Amino acid sequence: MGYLKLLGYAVVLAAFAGIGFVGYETLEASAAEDFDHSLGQVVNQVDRMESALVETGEYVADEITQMDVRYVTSIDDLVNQWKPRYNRAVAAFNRFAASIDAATVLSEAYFEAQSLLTERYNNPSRRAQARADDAAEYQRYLEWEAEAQSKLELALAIMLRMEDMDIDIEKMRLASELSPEIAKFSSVPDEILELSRELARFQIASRNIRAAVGTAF
Amino acid sequence: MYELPEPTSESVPTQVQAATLAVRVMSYLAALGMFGAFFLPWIHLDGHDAPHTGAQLLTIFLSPEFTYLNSVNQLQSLFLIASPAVVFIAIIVVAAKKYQREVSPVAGLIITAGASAMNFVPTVLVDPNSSSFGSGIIATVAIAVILLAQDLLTMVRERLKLSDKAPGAHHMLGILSASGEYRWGW
Repeated sequence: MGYLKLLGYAVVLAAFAGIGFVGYETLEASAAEDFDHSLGQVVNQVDRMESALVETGEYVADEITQMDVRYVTSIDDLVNQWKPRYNRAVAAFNRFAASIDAATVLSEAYFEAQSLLTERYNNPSRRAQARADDAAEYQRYLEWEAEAQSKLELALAIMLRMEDMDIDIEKMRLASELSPEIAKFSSVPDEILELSRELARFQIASRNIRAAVGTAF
Repeated sequence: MYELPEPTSESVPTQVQAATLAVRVMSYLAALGMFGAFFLPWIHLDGHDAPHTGAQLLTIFLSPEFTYLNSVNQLQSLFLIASPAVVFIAIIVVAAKKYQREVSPVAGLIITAGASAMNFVPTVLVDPNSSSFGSGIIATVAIAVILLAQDLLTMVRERLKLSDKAPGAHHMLGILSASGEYRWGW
């Protein structure tokens, strides 16, 4: 049965070699590949954020504002529907912010590698042309980054409003736990309508984000 | 670790001995097969075209993307590399124990729990549109559960001592758990 032992060693060694190869491929990825992926990640996260906000907005518009609040006796229904959507929106925002940060960091490696290659040109006119091309590309990137940052700030403002709404809902639940009579939603309609108006704005804003950041520089 | 007594093949039918050996060889090969499952899809991270394999997850900390994952959720990103690493070590233990004909229920449990948790823990990092279970995780968990069941059957068999009371059941448990007696080497 020595063959089985040898087979075991061979499989374990092959597994280590395979993992080592995968790690080597990861390390060998060029700065351009990493940067390109990070830009794609930003676009992807804008999509995710848009769908999370739209989903929340549509829920409020379609469900909550249609609700005849006089007959709603439990705020738990509202919370159970709201919370998962709100949590998804928060996670989407965190990913969006992190993807922009990652793209910013990786851009440095990309432009540094680009500059090193440009300086290796022997022909002075070719080098000068390459420098001009690099500078133009870097300028386009800076504009893209500024646009992305401004949309991130807009997204942050949206998320802060959403967080306030989440606090409103939490407070409503707290009040309903204090006194069942309050759970009749005597004061809720105005707040819900306000929530609906806010989330309608989110939908428009998120579409704007997608339009602005959705194209690579 | 629970160690089996030295098996003897007296009064055990040859077919039972052959079946036991066959199951033992298959168990060992299945344990080795879990290494192969590391090169099958495990989970689909958000923003990627294809799912990551277990091997890619093990080395993802070498990628610049790990910084991004870390800033999204530090705990989940650490779990993303720690869980496959722990599972990988546990597979080595299980494979070695299967070769040595010893049981290792704790390692089996670690594999099952660690691989399964990949579907439930890194929730904010995975693609929300992808199906939750990657084929690599399914294969790993399926094999680990079978090997774990074998270990438990082995312990039950030794505890019950059915050889005199119910030899048929004793032999059947011996085959299923691959802990029965046979006359050949290994």
